[in-house]
Amino acid sequence: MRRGTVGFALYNLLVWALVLAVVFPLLWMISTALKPNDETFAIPPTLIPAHPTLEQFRRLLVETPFITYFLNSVIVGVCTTLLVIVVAVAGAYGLVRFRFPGRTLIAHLVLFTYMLPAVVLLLPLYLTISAIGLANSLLGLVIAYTTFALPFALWLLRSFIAGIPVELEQAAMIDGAGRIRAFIEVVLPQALPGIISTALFSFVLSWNEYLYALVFINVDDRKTLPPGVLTMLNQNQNVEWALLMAASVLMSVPVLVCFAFLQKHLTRGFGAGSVKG
Amino acid sequence: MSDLCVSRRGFVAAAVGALACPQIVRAQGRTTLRFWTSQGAPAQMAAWKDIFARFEQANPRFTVAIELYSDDDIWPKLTAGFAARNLPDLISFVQAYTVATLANNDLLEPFDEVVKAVGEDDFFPGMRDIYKIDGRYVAATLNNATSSNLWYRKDLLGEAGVAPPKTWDEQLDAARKLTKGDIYGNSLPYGRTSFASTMMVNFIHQAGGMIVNPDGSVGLNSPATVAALEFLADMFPFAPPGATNYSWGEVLNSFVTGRAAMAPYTGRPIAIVAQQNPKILDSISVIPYPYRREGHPAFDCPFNSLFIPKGAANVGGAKLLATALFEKRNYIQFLHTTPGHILPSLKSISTSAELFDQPLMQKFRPEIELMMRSTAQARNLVKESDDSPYDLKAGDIFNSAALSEMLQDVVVNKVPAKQAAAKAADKVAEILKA
Amino acid sequence: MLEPQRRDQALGMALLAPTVLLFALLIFYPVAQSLFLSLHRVSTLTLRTQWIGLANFRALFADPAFRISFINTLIWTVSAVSLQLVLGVGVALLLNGRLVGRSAARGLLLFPYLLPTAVAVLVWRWLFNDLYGLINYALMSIGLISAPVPWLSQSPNAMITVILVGTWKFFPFVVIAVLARLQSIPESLYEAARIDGAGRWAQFWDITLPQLAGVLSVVILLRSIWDFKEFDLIYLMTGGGPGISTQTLPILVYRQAFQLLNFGRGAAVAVTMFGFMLLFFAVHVWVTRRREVEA
Repeated sequence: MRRGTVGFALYNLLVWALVLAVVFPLLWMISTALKPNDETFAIPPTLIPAHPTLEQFRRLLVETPFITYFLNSVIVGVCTTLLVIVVAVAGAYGLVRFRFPGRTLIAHLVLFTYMLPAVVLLLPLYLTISAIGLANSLLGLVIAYTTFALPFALWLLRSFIAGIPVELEQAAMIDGAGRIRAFIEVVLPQALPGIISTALFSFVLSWNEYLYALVFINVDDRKTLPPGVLTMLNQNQNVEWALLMAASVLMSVPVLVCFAFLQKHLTRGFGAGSVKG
Repeated sequence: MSDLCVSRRGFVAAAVGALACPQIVRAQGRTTLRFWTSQGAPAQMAAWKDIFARFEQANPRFTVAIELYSDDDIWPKLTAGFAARNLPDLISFVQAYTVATLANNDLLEPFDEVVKAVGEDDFFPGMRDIYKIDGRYVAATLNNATSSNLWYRKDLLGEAGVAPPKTWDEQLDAARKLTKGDIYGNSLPYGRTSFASTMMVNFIHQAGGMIVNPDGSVGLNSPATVAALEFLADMFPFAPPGATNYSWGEVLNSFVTGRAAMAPYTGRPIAIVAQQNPKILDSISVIPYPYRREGHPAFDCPFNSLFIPKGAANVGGAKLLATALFEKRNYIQFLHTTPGHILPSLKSISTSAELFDQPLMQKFRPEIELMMRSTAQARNLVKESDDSPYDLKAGDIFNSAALSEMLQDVVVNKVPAKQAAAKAADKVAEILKA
Repeated sequence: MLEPQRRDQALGMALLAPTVLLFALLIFYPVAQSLFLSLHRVSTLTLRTQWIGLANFRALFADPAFRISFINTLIWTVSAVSLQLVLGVGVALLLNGRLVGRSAARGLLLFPYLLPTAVAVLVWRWLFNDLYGLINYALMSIGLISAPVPWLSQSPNAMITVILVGTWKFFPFVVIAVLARLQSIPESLYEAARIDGAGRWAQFWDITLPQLAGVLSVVILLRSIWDFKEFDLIYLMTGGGPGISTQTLPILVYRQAFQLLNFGRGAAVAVTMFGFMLLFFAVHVWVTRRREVEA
């Protein structure tokens, strides 16, 4: 019993030490964002600000279009995520449960998109997006990001759906459920962890992407966070550090909180025993 | 700016609108002029908005949309714009090297009208003629700044008993004496970066050499280049340990944080020191960058260029807008956003009283006047000497990184200077031939 | 497999239609065009093409910088992927235990992955800075080093630093994928094993690892491909320097296409990368098949 308690404490200590090491740059960002300008490069460096201030956050939110960039990023992120999930779940289910000519070929072909460096796809992709009239629009970004996220989503979901015993579905269908209802009642819940991973991946991809967003979008009020913030605060490497750190905190912390919440939900779902064999 | 307190339905509608509508919806009957700039810090954006509000009032037919790019990614953005024929009307702050490459591909609108409207004689001649091809202007510099200045710490030099250096020998001696404890004598960009290439052009000129001779032959493989490389190798031990990766930001920060006693830069340190390390503000000053005793003083910079890309939707409006940017009030308001960093290209502005009507510019008036004189003499690869013709290949040479690679060969790979210079000269010859 | 009826076949194809459409529109054309451009002399600015056959490839293979970049790419990819896998699986297993504040820990560990690369690199460059970086400062104050270490400006330090930052940035991806799979391993399997007297290690080898095999195989494939063509992180971290000691193939593509404005040559590098990844992919598919057949 005692050994168990010590082991438990050690294990917790170890994992949390690791977590803190991994998020150290976040702590540094928060610390810098709370410092006045003349403390940014103080020597020796201070982890806890000597004169904490919220001035950087005020400037960022009031004097810059940060909120506009943030909303644009949210719109693009949410739309991309939804689109990826719908297209990929349908596609993965089609690949796993149906036999038709060329189905493995399709699964393999989609991965080829990952095999050309993004830099070389930039111009042709921009030309396509312009040709269909979507240059300078958030929809253009949503479509591009969906294409980038889809191969991964298909592959991941394929492995999840393939792991669901087909008998479960057949049983539901014998019980009188149609294929679509069987899909919703049996396949979706089983594939939920995979869907959440996919969602996370798609959202992060669109939230972080810089180069395509920079080239596709010109007008300031359509910009997403990475190009918006960086073209504003990093000019020829003359970085406005304090503001940039405040921006980085605001572009990562809310999303982290959302994901932590989502994970909690997910774990609770498992706790109820709905998926455990 | 959009109103953020819209209802949920309003937000959804706005979101759908923003998603689908590719064109900017503006007041009816007005033409939108698209203006690209890399200068988008909050203070600068505020100044642009004022300037454009005045322009829109004077020219009710137009509205101006500011579109920011970043210096590092100008080419992907520009090439995509040309490829899809989706171009801004006016572009500012790209290097004269970029202008040369565009001119070489016939992608620029003539800019003579703007230069004449502003006043051909009001420009400092060097800054004006760097855009002159066969007697016609393809661009102009709105404002400019050379980095061939040497920023130094009066207090540290005083303690070490050294005078501000005028020649390379004196600088080397000073750097040696100033390097102690956690202070490095002299910060320099040794990275494979555009700052290193810019300074390399400068060092070769200061040594009395040239990269391309006026007759079009390659002049890089010369004793002057070798002397410049050897000087930089001699200076290397007194630079911070990370200097082989330094570009603009690192050199600036090493000086601003007080860890380098000397460093080349534009006037940027004035505002940054005032903001981030005010305790050394009273001990910084600047002199023209030292030169080789056998050579001569020389000043180089990439130039901040203003031009109209060929294929712009509204060339007439772009010319009006460009001219408006040179109006005194607009001009000075923008210069004051980064006091001392970018300097006027017009004589009339450089001598106007209003220019120094700003606390930091007042405080550093002697330094700023010195940097204005240096900047007025600045050159670069596009036109290396009065006798040199406009070099359409200058951008290709600069962007090939042949010059910074040559420097890295010497300080990182320990290649003898002579051999590195010969190799770089071959690369330049190949580019000129292509 | 359900009964392969004709109606089902149509439904299956209908389900895949959006995927196929998207790829035909946005990928097939760019990929085909890259192949086309690699056989031409193309200025990035004008996109005017001139057929030169295999000249781009010949020039490339004769260039020592290409060979060095290729080797750098392999060193970076193999090291970064291996470290990500080890760290990712380890952390996922740790997080699957009885941890106080588990959701918070899981959320926080996503941070590196969530932070845009461009921002993450700026922060790391600051932390690694030779003069005012916190890392040198901390190491010097505890007496581990006596002078600042040039983390990013000396070989091989620069490559090691880039690999470490790359691992930090992307290992959460492995954690997410593995954790999702861990949660869908039926508890009954472990119960049965425990009844048979299997220890923790045996449970890991006999149950966890085989159950993770499918996901890990996809993760290895994708992370290898992604790291092989990673551009932002390395380019922003070192620009390929010092010298060309951290220059990888994607940086070479960028240099050719957007600095030297020689799009054809850039496309040729890209096509070479494509070929190499295809080879890797074929081997991967073959190994996976064989394993499935054995199982």
